[in-house]
Amino acid sequence: MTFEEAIEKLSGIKDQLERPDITLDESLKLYKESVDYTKTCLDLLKSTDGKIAVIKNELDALVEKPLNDIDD
Amino acid sequence: MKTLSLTVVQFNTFVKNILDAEEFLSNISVFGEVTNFKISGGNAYFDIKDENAMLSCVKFGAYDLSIKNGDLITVYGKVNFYVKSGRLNFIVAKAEAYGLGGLYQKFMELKEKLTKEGLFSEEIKKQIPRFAKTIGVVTSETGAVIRDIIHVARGKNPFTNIIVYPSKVQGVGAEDELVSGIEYFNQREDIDTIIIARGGGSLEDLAPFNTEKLVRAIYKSEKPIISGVGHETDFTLCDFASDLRVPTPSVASEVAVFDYFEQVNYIIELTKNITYFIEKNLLNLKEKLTSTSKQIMGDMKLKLKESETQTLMLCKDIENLVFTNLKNKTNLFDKLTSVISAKSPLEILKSGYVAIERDGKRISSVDEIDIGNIVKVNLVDGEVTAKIESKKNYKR
Repeated sequence: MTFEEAIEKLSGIKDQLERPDITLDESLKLYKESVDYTKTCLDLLKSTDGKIAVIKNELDALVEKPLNDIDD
Repeated sequence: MKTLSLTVVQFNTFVKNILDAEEFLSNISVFGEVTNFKISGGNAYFDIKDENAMLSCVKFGAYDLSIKNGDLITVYGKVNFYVKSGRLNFIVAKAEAYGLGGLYQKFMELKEKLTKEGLFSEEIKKQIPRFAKTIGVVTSETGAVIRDIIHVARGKNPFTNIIVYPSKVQGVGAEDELVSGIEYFNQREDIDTIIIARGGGSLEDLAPFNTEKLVRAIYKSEKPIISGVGHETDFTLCDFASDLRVPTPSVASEVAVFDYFEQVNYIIELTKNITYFIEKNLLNLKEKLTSTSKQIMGDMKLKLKESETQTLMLCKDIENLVFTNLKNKTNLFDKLTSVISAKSPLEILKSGYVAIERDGKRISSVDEIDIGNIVKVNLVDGEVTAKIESKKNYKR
């Protein structure tokens, strides 16, 4: 599941919870689901952050190299 | 000494050989007054004389000769002795008015004529090549002029080719040789620039450089021509017709040959500059790259932060909604139970009301009871028995 899909699910849950005729059972079930989607979102963000850090290191290594070393 | 006895033809041939062998007589000018002038068969026959002598002259092809009896002229040419007639003739190559005045006048007339034709026009001047590899020089192969030209050229550039077309630069035949030199160099592909050069001299000396034929040859030349004729103060038609006039032959060489050493230094400097600018550009690009990548990284981080905030806010909203729901349900329940409990009989009794029974039956109207009846009165915390002493019906 992508981050956007998970966020979409969370928004859907929010909309459902705003319905005036929501039952307590439904509310509990949706709450449980929302926690799962929140976890998915945060996990995806954390993993993206890690990937960015790796790419940044590669880029820094390239940019910091003196010009003479690049031409080969 | 024994006297030789010759036939006439032997004698005349002998004389002719002596005259022909004398180089001095093959290119000489003589001046005198024209007399006995006549034209026959396209050739001009006349004598020139002074107070003491007369010389028989012939000019083959007299179409360009404009002299008449009485004129003082200078004839250029050579001596010819005719074996058959035993007569001596001066073969005229060129004849011109004698003296500076006449020459100068002719010079001015010719100059005016050729100017009108546009032969000296600035618009037709060709650019002198900046980097000539091979230079053709029309001048005398002996003398200081060619030495100076080569000396200057070698000093500036050891790799420039200097080709010399040896030419007479004064006297009979000079004009034709100068023209041939120009034509020769025009036929050679490798020639970039032509120099016509001669040292200083009198107007008469410079006469070949003031001829219409030479001017037309220069005009016709497809290669650019530099004229370095005479000294600074001398002006010739050759100067006017050429693409560039310089004061002396040395200057002609100076102008035609590019400075090799200067160019080498210039190229070295240029290379240094180019290297500097390339390095500077590379550095700029690198800085731009670094700042752009930093910006992208910053944007990424921001996007990540925003996403995190969005997630947490949604999560919080949901939590709030869930708890609000729960609270609503609890409130509803409380409200219901309080309503229910408010309806319990005990609750009514608590407020001081009583329930009356007679013979186990609940009494709810005065009509169901009479004075003297014994009833059970129920209170919240117990019961009492009572006797009815009076009654009043509100409805009646």
